Amino acid sequence: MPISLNITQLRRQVMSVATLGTCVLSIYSGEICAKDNDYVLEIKNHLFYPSELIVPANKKFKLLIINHDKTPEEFDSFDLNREKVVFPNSSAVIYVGPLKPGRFHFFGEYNPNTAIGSLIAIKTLKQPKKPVKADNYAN
Amino acid sequence: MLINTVILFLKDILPVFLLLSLLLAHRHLLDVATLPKQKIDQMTFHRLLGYILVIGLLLSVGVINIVPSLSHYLDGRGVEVLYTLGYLAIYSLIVLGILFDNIRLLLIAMMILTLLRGADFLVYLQGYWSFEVLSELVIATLLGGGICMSIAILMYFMCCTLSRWRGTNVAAYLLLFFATGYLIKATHLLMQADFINNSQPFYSSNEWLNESSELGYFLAALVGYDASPTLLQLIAYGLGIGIPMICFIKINPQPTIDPKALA
Repeated sequence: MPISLNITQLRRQVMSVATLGTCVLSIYSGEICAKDNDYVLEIKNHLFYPSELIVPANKKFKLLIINHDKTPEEFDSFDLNREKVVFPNSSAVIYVGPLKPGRFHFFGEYNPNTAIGSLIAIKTLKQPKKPVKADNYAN
Repeated sequence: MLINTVILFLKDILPVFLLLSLLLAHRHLLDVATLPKQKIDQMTFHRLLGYILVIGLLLSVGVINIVPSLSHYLDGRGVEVLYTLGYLAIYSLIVLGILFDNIRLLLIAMMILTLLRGADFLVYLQGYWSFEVLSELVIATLLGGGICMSIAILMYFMCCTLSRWRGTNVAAYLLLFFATGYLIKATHLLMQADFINNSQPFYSSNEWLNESSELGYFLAALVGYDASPTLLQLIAYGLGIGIPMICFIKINPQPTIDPKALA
């Protein structure tokens, strides 16, 4: 009986350490890279590229925003109900969707006259064939 | 840049002024209510409030230095996690502060709000500051501050007047709505960071009251108005108000206000 208790305790300790280790590893993430199902917006000279991005309707997706400028920009959209600051020479991630088919406007809150664009949600859109890669902007 | 800075100031700092005016009104109404005296006297309360605002501002200067690196943690969701925790703390502290008549909890909520909203505005100032546009930024900040102060003063006297008419502490109820607004903002961030499944909006009231209008901005700051909420957010809002309201009635009914004392 004492032996089985020790094995149980040992198993619990191993699981605790493994869980803790997983948590520690998952906490630190120094890279944000676009994967196959990501959509990418870039900010250059207070302009969004592309200004119109076609995305799938009725499906959640990850939007990666890369800021090439030396000043921060705040991605804001009342249509999408999303708002996030993208720091200079850095990137930010926002999860969007599922969206009904249609057009959803967004803008840069710090430069609302120039940084404007829209997401166009279309039904039965196939995933992009070429994976979109983003540079690493981690510190 | 001038107009944009004013708009950003209003968006980021107006909630701080609103909470300040609601706290002052709540404190004033508690003083005149038929309740035992609060342990903190009025002068001490005002002094504490000043310290809290300064500490919050100083902390926000520190926060803006760590936020850029924090944004890369947790697969790019570090900032959402930080703000979610802050907003949940604000909601909890305000509700508990009203429920147990604890002014200190309300002051801590004020500090956290100043920290988070101050950091938002300081990120913009830090990014776009330069000697060429310094005068525009200063003028815009003063204009924004003046507008926020006017709104806060009107809110304070509105609370006192309505309390006199209704015979109850209106500021406490407005504080509850204010706090629930931040509960909804927290759910918003959790959806944005994909910690909660997002769904399509349950309805859209943009045709009646546009979220991007001046009144929309004001209601968003005061009660967390969202023109296109999801069902989850509606349920959270209802529970966020309903449960504390029931607790108020059971545990700490809001005292009747003697209209003569407010005259």
